[in-house]
Amino acid sequence: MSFNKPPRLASRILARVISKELYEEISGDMEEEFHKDVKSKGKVRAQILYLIEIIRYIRMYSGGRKYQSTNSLSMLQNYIKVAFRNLLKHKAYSIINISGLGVGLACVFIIFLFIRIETSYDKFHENGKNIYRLQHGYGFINAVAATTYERDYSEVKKSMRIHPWKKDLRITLENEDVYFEDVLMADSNFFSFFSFPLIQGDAQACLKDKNNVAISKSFAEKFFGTNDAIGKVLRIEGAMAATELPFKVSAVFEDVPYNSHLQFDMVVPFELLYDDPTVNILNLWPNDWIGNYVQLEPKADPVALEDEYLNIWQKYWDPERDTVMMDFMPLEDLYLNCYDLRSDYAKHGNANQVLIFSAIAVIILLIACINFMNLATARASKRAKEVGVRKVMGAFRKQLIIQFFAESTIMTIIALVLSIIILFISIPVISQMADINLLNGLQNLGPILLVAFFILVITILITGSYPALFLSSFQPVSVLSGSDAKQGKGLIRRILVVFQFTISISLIIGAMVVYFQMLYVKQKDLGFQPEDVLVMRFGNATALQQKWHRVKNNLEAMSGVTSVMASRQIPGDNAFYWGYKFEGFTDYEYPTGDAWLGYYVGFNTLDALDVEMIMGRTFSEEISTDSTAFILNESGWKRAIELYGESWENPIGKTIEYYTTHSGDWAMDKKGVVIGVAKDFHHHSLQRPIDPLVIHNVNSRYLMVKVVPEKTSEVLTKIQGLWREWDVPAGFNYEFLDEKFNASYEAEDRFNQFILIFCFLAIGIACLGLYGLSSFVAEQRTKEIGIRKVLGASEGKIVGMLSSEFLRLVVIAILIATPIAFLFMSRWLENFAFRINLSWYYFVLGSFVAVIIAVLTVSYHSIRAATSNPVKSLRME
Amino acid sequence: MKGDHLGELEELILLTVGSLHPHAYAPAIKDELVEKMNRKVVLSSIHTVLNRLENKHFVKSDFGESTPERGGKRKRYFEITAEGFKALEELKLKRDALWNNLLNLVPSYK
Repeated sequence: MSFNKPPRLASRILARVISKELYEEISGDMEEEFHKDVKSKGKVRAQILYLIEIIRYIRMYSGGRKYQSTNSLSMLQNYIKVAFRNLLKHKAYSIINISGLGVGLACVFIIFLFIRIETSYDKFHENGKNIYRLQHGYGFINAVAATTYERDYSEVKKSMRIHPWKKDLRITLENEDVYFEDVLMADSNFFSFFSFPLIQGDAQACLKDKNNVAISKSFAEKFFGTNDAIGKVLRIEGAMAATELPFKVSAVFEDVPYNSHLQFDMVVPFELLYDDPTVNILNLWPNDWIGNYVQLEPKADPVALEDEYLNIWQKYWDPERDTVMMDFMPLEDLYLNCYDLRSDYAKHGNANQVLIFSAIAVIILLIACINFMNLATARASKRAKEVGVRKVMGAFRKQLIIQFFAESTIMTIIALVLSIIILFISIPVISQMADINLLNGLQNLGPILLVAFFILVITILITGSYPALFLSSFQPVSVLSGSDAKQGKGLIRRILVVFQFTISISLIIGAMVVYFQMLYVKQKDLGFQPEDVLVMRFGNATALQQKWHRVKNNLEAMSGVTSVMASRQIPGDNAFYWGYKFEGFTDYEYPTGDAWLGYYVGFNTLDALDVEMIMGRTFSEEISTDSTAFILNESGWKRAIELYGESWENPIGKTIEYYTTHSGDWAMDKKGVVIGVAKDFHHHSLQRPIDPLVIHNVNSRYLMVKVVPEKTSEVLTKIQGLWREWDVPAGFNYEFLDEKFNASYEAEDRFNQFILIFCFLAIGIACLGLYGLSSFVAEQRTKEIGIRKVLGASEGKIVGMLSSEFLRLVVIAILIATPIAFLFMSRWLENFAFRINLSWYYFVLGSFVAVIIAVLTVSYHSIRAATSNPVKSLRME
Repeated sequence: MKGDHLGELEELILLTVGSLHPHAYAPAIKDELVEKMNRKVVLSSIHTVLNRLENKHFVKSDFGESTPERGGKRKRYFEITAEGFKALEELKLKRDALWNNLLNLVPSYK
């Protein structure tokens, strides 16, 4: 008997619907019936009958409460009917409102998706809350910090290191297929430290042996055509020194999600570095090249541990040292919060961007909502009669409030439908433009729907509240007697218009400053000529040095090649610190300081890139001592004079000693004379100031070829042909120097473009609102205008009268907007090392543009009103 | 007066309550109606009618025993009151009067 219980959910519904005193009897009777039915008709039918019965009860017993709600239900129907009639009757008004709100909502959703993507980074690690990366101005430090922390401090639970610089290594499969891929080196606990899920293999053990390699699912498919790659063998050249070693696949992991700061497809053990005879700096402290991560105990204090770094440094490296920098960056903030590092292997977003976009989203939605409120109240006089009649017929204020909220709800829902259409069209376009797959933000729909619902409710509340409270407050006597038909002077409306225009003007000024700053950055003289220069990565550090003469001769013989360069660094790369001891001085700048930065270029580079020399000469292949010679840049020269006195006014011929840890200990690396001073050029992106540089002569790694523009493709095919002949230990890839250089602020550029787009949208929506508002004001005053015309007012006067009302508001808005815009834009410009001055004409021009826009939007209606025939408007009295 | 009026279903159920005395409760009434009158009435309708009858004081009710097939819930037994009986009787008398008339005036169908 107990097996056949009636459906529980249905019983529960019954319990809620039926009053307590009846429940026991009815549910008991029903259960009895149910059991009878089970016997006579079978379980399924019995359940169906039970359900049907319950529905009957619900109908019957909620009847008592229904009486009132039947009425309000039909009133609601009436509200909806009236709302739709109003929508259709005032088409222009509806279009303005709905399109404004629709575009606004679409912007908000797009920005929401963007923010969702940007804030989703590195949130999937199991212990992510307790993981920190050790950094200090650079995203990487030495190879000993994390392990020392783990050993010496009990609050540090685990440590893990990565070596992210093995790029473009030659991978050879058993079937002799060759690929060039990036390889990550990581401590053996990598997969248990982070939570990158494995498809095959053991997270604890997969990097234990030195010949293990873990590869991603897509690489497994690319290399072996299958997921099941465990035990397969591949050979990697350059994982250790310049040798080729066999590796055995020990694990296959899921492709790294886009929202990880670390992107990799192959992982080999970090341990290999200890066997690498060319790596002698693993135990040295002043080196920055290894990614260090620690996992702390949940209660540990990262700040206290940061401070301990000085003790550690003094204990293990230099007892004299009095300052060191150490920053424990929480893993989950890594992506957004350390975009200003000098250099990093990790992917970065920008927390400021997220903030600015959030602000813009709110502003756009607010402007659209204000439109709605303004237009609704502007129509107040038209609807006052309706309100009056409703009140006379017995409507309570509450019901009127419900009515106006119903209208704003309908409007908002239509706008939402429109915004969804806009989203469908625009998401693919924007994703392409922004180079962010916005669809990624659509994963996990639950919270999105919640936010969408939340935004919807907020919008309805904002748009509905003011009209609802304002319109419903009318006194029927005064409204219907017509004595006070122009309800209110619209003070709040004016405040809202001023508010809207304040925002719009700030945005116009902001957009102009952003645009001119972008233009300035693009047109700024870089101090060198980046055009028509091909950049090719020539494998490891030594390959190009060994093959330089052959490569150079081959290329110079080619028609279309202007010059051939080899360079350890190219413009756009980050300059390195090290120690420099200038002639006549015993102290050297300690590494990791920024008094001097080294920049490593090869023969020809400065000449071919047209870097101007202030004095002396550039490196020459003919002079053998030039391999150890130095060139200062202008900033470096000035710093030398400042630090080492006037004797450096003429630096040519003076010696500089260069200290590094390249030999395996902190020691003099080379000593050479200064042979020239180069004019300052932008060796990295314009966001940073030009560093004081000591320029070295190192002709390795990058092969650069300046070409005659028309022959570019011809030269490229020829180089590609020679590539195999030269036996370059890297795949053939090329880039153009100017594009590569610009790429360093491409993200910023794109971000600014989006700000511009959203600004224009915001201004557009605000204008739509003003347009609608002016039309209603003009309409309201048709009789007044008619009488004025009859009494002899000129058309110009009337246009002036109608426009001046709005212009006054715009002028007030200008007065408020200017200081706001100044404040925000001067702070924004501080992000740039090279920036435009925030001069007065941006503000004047911005205000002027706002006035013009306002006049244009208002004038259509004021001119129409002014030119209309007074007979028509006055006849109806 | 509306309050004293007995609808057709009300009358039927009131009768059944009386005829099942003292074991009249909703499912039993339902079965009885099927058996004696060949009439299917859903449980909810019976409940409604019973409540209405109780409001008119034609029946009174009391909780009885519970059985396992009721999920431990008690039965509510209905009992016809004197008023209910009177109302039924009155209705029957009125009807009988009409019957007599009918038989007197059109005896041919019998």
